[in-house]
Amino acid sequence: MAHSKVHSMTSSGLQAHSRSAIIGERKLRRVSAWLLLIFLLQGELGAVWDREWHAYVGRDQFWTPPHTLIYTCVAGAGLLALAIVIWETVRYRKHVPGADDTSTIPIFGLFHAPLGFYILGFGALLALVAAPLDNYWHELYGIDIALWAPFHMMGVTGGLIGILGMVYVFASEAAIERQAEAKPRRYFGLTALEIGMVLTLASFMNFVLTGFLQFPIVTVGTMHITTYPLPLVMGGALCFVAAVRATQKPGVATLLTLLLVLHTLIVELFVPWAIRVAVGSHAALYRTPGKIPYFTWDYALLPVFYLVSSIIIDLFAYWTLRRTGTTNTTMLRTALLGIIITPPTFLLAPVLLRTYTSFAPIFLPEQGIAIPPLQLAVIITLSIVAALILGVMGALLGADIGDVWRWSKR
Amino acid sequence: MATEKKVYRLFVRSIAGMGLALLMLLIVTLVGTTNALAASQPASIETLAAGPYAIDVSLSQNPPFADQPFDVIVRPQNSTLQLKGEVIAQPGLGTDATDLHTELSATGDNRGTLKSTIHIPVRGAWNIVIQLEGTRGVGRASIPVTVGAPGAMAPSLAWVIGTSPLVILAVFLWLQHRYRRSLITQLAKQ
Repeated sequence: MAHSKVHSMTSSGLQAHSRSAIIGERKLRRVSAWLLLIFLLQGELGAVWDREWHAYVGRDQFWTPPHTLIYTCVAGAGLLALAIVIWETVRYRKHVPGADDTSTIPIFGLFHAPLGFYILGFGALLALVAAPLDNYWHELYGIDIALWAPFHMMGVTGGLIGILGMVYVFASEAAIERQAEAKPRRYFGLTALEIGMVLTLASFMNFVLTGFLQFPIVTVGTMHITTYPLPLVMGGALCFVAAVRATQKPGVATLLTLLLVLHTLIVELFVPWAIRVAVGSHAALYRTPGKIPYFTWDYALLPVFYLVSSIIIDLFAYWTLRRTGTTNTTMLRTALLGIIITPPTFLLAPVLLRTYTSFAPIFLPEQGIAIPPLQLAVIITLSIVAALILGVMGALLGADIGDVWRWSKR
Repeated sequence: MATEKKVYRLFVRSIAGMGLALLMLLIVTLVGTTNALAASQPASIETLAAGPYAIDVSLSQNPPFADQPFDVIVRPQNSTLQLKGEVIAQPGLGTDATDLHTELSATGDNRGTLKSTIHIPVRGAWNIVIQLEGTRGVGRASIPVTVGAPGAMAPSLAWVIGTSPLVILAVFLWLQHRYRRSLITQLAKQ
């Protein structure tokens, strides 16, 4: 029926119909993308709130206020992704202009939708599956299991996958928009969709920060080594390089750091206040009487340690752009960039964290026991090598997926 | 040009290989040493300073399980010290219980080893505090553990399930790498 109606139209009528269908397709995906970003910000607040709730109040039941915030976000984003996948499949099968093989990918020969929505749906599903398992784990091992519990890891991985999915949603739309005739309005040299992508990446990095101090301490002999700089190094290298490659704009890495500061500022304004209000309204008790959370600049300004690395990436991108007309460079140079940007993060993070936590130093020797100099040298060297390898891997991975985000319309 | 490509490939493969090896090493190390937060090692040994005494402390079970006795073995690094003392199991934050005291007794070996068998009745966070007394005075050291409920799923199985999505993520990223290369080929043709 739809086909006969289309075929009976005149050429100009057909073009107008196609154009309006394509506009509808774009609106559907873009409105979904922005809605997903709102869900993501909600989940981001919930994740930090949950971490602090564990620390200040404890986890006495599953439906704590932060869990409610997290799981409504996960369920909302997951259901929206599912709805879009089904809706896109229907539109594809009806041959609606805009929902075709150039902008969707098939899965199981059944569904046709943009890749980002599949990834997002999978991430949300993973996080939801992890929830009852995590609850079961808490029942077995008590309330004080931190991030490094198996099903917490599963939930966190689901969250990270979901956020990656959202970046793909924004990026594919930005790639389609780039090839359209109409030139979109730009803010700071970026289109709204590119800004959406950078905002989502800032959320991704905030998610990395949320878990950073929960990273375990590795003990080698009598030396305790904090591992939190490793995800910070890899996450930073990945996101900064990917953002520059995807937008081809020097300056985006620094913008990403500033947006991340904005995120942590909002989180720090919200979370201590939310804990105090929720404790009051639930008549709950603080774990340590008198230890009540308040706003601190330490956490709000935490991402400042990324500033040097992001400026280096932007300067390198600017230099490359001037020389070659693109911010892209060889993988060898990208790897070297990963090596160059690692030390600032590796060295500055402990300095900025020194008033925030006693676990800020990377190397924590057992008090009262002397460590042989050779053992100390080997531990320090291996730790630096590990950080550099992760910096290189982050940069290479960032280059890979940054290019995919730049080019792929699916 | 061909040599440069070969060197480059070798470099990338070396980095990827080292990264993978590092990841494996990290996973193995982290699972074994996460401050006993549901760690999967059946036993653990830590070198600690109990005041003036450097000691190696081993637990026969880590994580321990509620109501299943386990051994705490304390071995001074200086075997000439004639130490005595006790193990105090202190409930951690969020665990509703009281302190449990158990005497450390000499095993009779020539290394001054002390041993105690303790059982913890409540699951959750605990601190195993070793209090020693000798010629240099009194010293204390502490090891945090997480005690599981009886019949709990083995942490190793839980870790396999919990980290399995990381494998899917790694495969996805590898496919994206290949997809990028195909996109480059397409763009070059255009």
